[in-house]
Amino acid sequence: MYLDPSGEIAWPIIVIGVIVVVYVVGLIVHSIGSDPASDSLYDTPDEAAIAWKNEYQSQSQDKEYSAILYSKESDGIIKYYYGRTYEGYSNNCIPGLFYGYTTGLFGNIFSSRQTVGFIHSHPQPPEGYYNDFFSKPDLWVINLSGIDYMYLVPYTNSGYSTQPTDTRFIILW
Amino acid sequence: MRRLFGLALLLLIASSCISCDKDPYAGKRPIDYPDSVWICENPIYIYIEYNESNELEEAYIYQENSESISIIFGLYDDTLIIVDEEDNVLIRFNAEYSEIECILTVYESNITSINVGDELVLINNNAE
Repeated sequence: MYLDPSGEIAWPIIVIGVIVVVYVVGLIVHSIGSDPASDSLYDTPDEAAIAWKNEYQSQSQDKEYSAILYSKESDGIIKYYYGRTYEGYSNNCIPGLFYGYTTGLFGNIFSSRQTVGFIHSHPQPPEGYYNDFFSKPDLWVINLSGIDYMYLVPYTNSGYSTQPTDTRFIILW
Repeated sequence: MRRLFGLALLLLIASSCISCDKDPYAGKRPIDYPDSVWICENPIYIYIEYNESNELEEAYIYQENSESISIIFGLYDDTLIIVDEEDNVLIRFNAEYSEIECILTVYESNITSINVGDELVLINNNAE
């Protein structure tokens, strides 16, 4: 089947089509394993993050979890909540960030909500290691549009890490 | 159509790869070399020994006398921490790892003879 009357295969269209298919399949696969957004609204991003921590820290022994944080107006007051929570892997939550962030931006178009932050957990580290700090890839995420706050929820408090000096990064032990 | 399937497969593999990042320091830290002894002689003496199971067999730092220590590595990170028996942090380093030597640059020190910016080198005495 030729998509171009000249007889040449329209590779750009095929590439875009395949990317869209891969994205949609990935989205479906990862959404199946994810939890719905919080029903509750919170007064501050910190409160929404702490609520997420209370739900997912104990589940994070072996793998990471992640969610996008949103704000929306309720009765004239700005409130905060966490979006769909994605199950990650033992070392990363990249698919959760990718699908949560992109679908969140898409959803923002059709609602009054705004993306405000990202929260994720770190699992229990092996003996002789610590991981209750923002990794270099974690630090990069703050560059994404709308991500004003980054929260980290380590499963383990090593006692060797301290709160980052940049107040946009918050560790919730 | 075959090309299309090939391209789709390539993209699927590529998308799978971004979801499995690797620890860039895995396999390079002293703990990754079984049955190894790492020694720094200057400006302070540090002895670190891992057994065949990659467990810390013995580690001490010698200042005015010998003191047992533990070595803690930052996961997915180039940091290395030396802590005393009470779990107090003695020195924090940024590390460059290799099988032969481990170059440690101090970025926090609670030892008077070691300053921020000092460079210590741990030599793998069992390296071939």
